[in-house]
Amino acid sequence: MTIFSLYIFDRHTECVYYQDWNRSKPVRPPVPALLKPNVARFDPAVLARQQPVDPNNLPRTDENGQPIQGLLAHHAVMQRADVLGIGEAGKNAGLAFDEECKLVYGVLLSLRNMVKKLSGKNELFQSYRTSAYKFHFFETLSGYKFILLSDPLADNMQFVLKSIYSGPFLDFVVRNDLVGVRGGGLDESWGVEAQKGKIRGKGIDNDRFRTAVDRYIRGLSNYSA
Amino acid sequence: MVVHGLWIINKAGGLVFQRNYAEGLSSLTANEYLVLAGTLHGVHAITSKLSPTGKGSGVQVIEGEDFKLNIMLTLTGTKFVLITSLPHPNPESTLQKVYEAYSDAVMKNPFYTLEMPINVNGFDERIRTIVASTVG
Repeated sequence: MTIFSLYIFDRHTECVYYQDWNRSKPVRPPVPALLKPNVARFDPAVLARQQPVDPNNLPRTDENGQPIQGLLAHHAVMQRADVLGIGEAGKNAGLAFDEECKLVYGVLLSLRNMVKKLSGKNELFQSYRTSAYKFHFFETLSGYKFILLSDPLADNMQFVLKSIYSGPFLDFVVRNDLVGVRGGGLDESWGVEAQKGKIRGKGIDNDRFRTAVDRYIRGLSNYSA
Repeated sequence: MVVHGLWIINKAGGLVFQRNYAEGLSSLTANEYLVLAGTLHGVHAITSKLSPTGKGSGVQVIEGEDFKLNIMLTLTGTKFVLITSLPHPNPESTLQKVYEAYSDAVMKNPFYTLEMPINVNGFDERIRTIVASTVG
């Protein structure tokens, strides 16, 4: 029994908060340019090594020394970047954080629409389970989406998400003047960066919220390291 | 407990069999079911990639407020999806029986073309019996 990770998305499809506990396959930090501030915390030393892959610096041959050519070249080169451990990927060839967020949100949206369509009466999607994990979902009226990944045998854990919302989230995010209403922080550079299409806003992370969520999750009966 | 319906999705994501067995869910057009089956096929692939432990199957059960989708993936890549009410105690065994019926009535049928929609009367009847016997 365990808890793996918590994601919070705002109503603009942006991941505004991430925290994980017992992941045996950790998420790969993104290249710094793609990391939105105040969302997730990665080891700064690891983050510094996440430089964008330079295509000119990669070997152009496969394992047998044959040159990689044609349509597959680009793909193969990117894959080799992972295998060779460029950008920390060699050790744990997991998804990068920004990629993972997109997939989580995509799955959520697809399943939410599917459940809505099948039921024909705006029924809400609640959870799904695979052999490795269970995905719990709770959405607030304001469109914040709380997602918790736990072990597959866990019961319905929506109450956990609800109490994170009504406890730490309300206390340290909603009632915190320094977190903007939009979900992004009050940051003058926001408009400029958004227009460049690079970073949209900021996350909602702060010390008090992170500590409170951490304490709550670690206190759950089905949390064990 | 209710069995709402059964879908069979071939390994390319196409819906080859779809029947409703109980009221309660909205009935959609054939086209909408095709789209949903395709979506499920894609989601299934992504969910196994999202595993926080690095390995694991694709999605097996999807729960709404009143119903759930139970998904069984066979070794050959065909997916059987059983839509039941939440309290259904053992959808896995029903799916297993459906798979047996599929092997007997569809795969052994010389007139059936692989990966194509299933129009086999014998199969329909056997599924009806299986569904009726599991609804207590």
